[in-house]
Amino acid sequence: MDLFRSLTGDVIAKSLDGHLARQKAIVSNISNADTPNFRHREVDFQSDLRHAIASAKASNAVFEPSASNQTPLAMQGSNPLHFNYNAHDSLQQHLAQNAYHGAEKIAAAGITPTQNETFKYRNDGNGVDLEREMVALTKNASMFQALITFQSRQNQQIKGVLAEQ
Amino acid sequence: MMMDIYDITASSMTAQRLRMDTIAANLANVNTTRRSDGQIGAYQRKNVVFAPMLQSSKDASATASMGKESIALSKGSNPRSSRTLEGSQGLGVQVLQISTDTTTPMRMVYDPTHPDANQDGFVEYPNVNAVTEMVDMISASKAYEASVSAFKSTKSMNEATLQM
Repeated sequence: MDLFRSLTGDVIAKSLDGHLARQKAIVSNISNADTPNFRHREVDFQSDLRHAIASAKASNAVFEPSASNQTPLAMQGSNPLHFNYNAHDSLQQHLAQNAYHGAEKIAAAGITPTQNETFKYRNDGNGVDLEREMVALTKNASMFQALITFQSRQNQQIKGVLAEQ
Repeated sequence: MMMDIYDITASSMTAQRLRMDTIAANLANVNTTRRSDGQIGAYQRKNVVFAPMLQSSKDASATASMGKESIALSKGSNPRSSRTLEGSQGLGVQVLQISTDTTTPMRMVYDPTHPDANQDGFVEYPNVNAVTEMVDMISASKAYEASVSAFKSTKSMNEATLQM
């Protein structure tokens, strides 16, 4: 468990990058809504990011107790209801299971801009549907705001933990 | 990157404003029968020509490859419906030229009393159609508004990032 680096944080950062690239594509489309033969552009990052999240989760290490952890003076429990007597090992196990190793996998997830070559919205060859772009613009900005809000909540949590009581 | 987006919206607003200026010039000269030097010659309708513009003109190779692509496309050699782009360059818009409309015929009005009437009594008026111009004007105005919305949306994203 790392205080500042988490799967959530990296996914949010990558998503923000993706939404920014998408914003650029949408703005390009809106700017060229009256340009003959302009082709509609869009950006996909979610499908790649979804795979990256899955593989980042799968790459979490499996804990194996090392020999050095087995001290000859380890406390013995006589009743299964006792507290975890091998506290060091179980803490290590907990940390290993919750460790986060997928940072580079999330960072490697691609942001793919594509251009639709066949769709024509008008007779001058322009492929931009202005109404659809305006909806996409609002949707994109809302998603961006939501991600920012989520990240600042996370930051608030950390601040709360760090604050002197 | 955020600043690039601002540049793209700015290019669009500039282009639409120039288009609006052109429409205003056409409407203002709807009855102009002489040139600016006072010689007889009716005003000819002006038109703006838009083209996509790569935001960084430094990247000449990208512009060159873009030209090739459009040639390939016009030949129909690319059967795929959508193509993955290299990098995420945004495209602004630029006004390539202000062209003169020579295809629309001039408006001939019979008025022998007019000083610019020809031997048959017809006066040559500009090929400006007020209805066409008004429709163009609404289109330009809507496109400008769309760019302003895009600018505001990007700005709110930018502000949110700074408050995180």
